[in-house]
Amino acid sequence: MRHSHLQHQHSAETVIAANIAGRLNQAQKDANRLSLAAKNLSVIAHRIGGQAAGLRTLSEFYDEFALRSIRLSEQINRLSAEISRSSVKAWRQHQLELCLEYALSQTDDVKAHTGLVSQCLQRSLLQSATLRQHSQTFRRQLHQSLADLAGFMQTIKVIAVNSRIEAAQLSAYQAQLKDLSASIDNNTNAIMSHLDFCQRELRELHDHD
Amino acid sequence: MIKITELYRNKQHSWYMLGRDASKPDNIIDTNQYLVLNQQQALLLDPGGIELFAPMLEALVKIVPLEQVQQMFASHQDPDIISSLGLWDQVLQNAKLYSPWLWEGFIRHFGMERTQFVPIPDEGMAIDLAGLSLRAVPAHYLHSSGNFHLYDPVAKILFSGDIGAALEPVDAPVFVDDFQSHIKHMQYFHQRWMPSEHAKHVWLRHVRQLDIEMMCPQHGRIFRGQAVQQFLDWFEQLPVGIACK
Repeated sequence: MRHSHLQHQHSAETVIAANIAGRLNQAQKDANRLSLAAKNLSVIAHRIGGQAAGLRTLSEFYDEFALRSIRLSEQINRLSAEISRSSVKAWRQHQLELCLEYALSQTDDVKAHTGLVSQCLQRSLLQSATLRQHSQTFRRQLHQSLADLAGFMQTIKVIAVNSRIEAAQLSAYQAQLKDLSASIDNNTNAIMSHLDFCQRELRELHDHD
Repeated sequence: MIKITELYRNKQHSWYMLGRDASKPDNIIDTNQYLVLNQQQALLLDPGGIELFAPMLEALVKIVPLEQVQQMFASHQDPDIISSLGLWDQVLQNAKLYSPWLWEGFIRHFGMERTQFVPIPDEGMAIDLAGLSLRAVPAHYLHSSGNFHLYDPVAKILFSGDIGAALEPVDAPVFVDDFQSHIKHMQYFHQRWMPSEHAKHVWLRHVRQLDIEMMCPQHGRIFRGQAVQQFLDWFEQLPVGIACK
């Protein structure tokens, strides 16, 4: 496991979530570039006129999916940050629990086991359980959002194939369209590679549990 | 979310400021953290308080893979500087912490199982970052009794810890644009937190010999160009240690 050097499950969760946020920040920049390429494609299609009506429609699809990808990347970024923060809280809570458990293990005094230390421990365990629930909810949402974003990218790939077919019929603008197509391909592939990384990280997080 | 500002870049060598965290609790003082990168090795300066750990980690991995962060520098022992140590200790591999020798036994209270403590002697020392020689500059009693700043002679940046600090809201600008109007944000801080006139003059004598294009404090705004000299001149004539009448 890549994060096997991390001794504690909470530290692994914190690092993985931060890594996902970092990669999604990159994905967001690629999605911005994707949106720009879609807008450029739309400009060219308008310039060509009626002959490029198909390409114009496809460029609108591109742009729509690029914009949705940007929004989704932002959402994933926020989710990852939430997971990271919540696991730091859980981590600190766990450290407290270890100290309280140790203190209780050192005494046979019944009062200690029913007193403040014990109450603190119970309260801390409850808070930990709540944090665990939050974390699981965030993780489910993260898993779903990553899958949605991967779906967007697949759709963009399909549109890319269609736009290449459309572009083949427009010989005057071949070079520009080829460049734009390459740019869309590159950005889509980059986002997919970020997604692949994030999904692997998330799987590793499940393995840590 | 912590704002990342690139301060310097030349090929493989760069400086970043990480700060202005709008999501931090209001009653926690705002801090500037800095990252120096050279040839894929990173040094984290004054990593910050424990409350800041999660947003700092999140910001850090946007700049550099965590594996490349193997060195930390703590200018002194205060909680806003290094109380996150116990958590960094668990996520960084083979990390070293450079800090004043004076504070080793105190700083270890923050939790340090895996990190190597490298004590900085009173006279300062060179810190190597993948061939880039950085200098730990003594700043004792400014304000902590064991205190260092960090000078990068290539980038001409001085990380100046609490010197030049200003207590401002998180939406304050990153750079000092108008020195005169900035004085009100930092005057009381320097007069009350800095205890020693002698220490101030010793530091000024040393720092005036350095070629500084940017002076980066741990709170508030960064001084660049002419504002660096303006600060040094202003600080020189400022009475400090005002709590003792």
